[in-house]
Amino acid sequence: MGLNFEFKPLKNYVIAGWVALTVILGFILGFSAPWVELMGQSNFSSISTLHGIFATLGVIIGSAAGYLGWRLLLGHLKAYRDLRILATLSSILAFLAIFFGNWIYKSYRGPGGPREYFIAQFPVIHEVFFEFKEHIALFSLPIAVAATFILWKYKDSFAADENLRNALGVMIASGWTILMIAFVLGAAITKLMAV
Amino acid sequence: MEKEKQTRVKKNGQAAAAMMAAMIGLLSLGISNLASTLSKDSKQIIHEFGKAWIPGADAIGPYSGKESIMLLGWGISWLILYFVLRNRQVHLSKFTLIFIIGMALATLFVWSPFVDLLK
Repeated sequence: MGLNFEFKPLKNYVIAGWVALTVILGFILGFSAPWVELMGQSNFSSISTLHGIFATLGVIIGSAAGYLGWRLLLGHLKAYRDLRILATLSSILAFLAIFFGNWIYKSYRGPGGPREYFIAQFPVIHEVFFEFKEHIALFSLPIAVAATFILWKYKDSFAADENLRNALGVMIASGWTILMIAFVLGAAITKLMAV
Repeated sequence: MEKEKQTRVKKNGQAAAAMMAAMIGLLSLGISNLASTLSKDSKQIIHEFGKAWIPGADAIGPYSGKESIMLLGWGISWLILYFVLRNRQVHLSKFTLIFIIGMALATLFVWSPFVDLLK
């Protein structure tokens, strides 16, 4: 009891300190860093940066969800609440990555864009990898939203329902695989020619 | 009381509906990609479908229509399946297997080397 009384304020101070430090560093970074140099001169540089940020966050959050999904499949998971939060965030990030991905797709297909370059120089990169990546990335949204719905709707049933755990484990594993395919191909294509 | 709450099992029909709807969405995308690649008329119709509501859809071609068809297939099927299955207890393992097969087919339908074989 006494331990809790002393520990809780300390924890709150640490969290408040982190938040304050992050905000201060964010302001310093935001106003002093050469963002234009970092992101490039293209009209789509900000949009493609946002797409990349959301895709990267999606992979990080999706990987954490994938690990919990694996434990769920094995029947070892107790942290259902954590998985619900991660799945919800994954759904939001999938939507945002797709939304901004649509936006920069205009630049990809536009005159002098990467599409023209790939078709001229490496047609197989466009026809196989890019086309596949653009389509399979969309798979992440329905799968993430369906998994999130099931996690919230059946939050009290998982402990006693093995079939439900298996179904959800399969969906999360599929979603994670799709995320990784889309992310790796996207990163590789961007390395060859950015928008 | 807490233990009771933790072990309560709901009817799983709504979970099956969510899974199947997601799979139908993926298949809608895969099939519209096949149609768009194999037929110029279909490609034009699919593109027009995307242009009907997505801003700047001209610039992203038939992709706009394919994602619209995915959203429609997913949303409408979820609505229907939700009302059909919501109070039912189903064999979820069978639905999981159907989900895996449907997703594998949808993946095949967007894999260009496979689509090229059908041309």
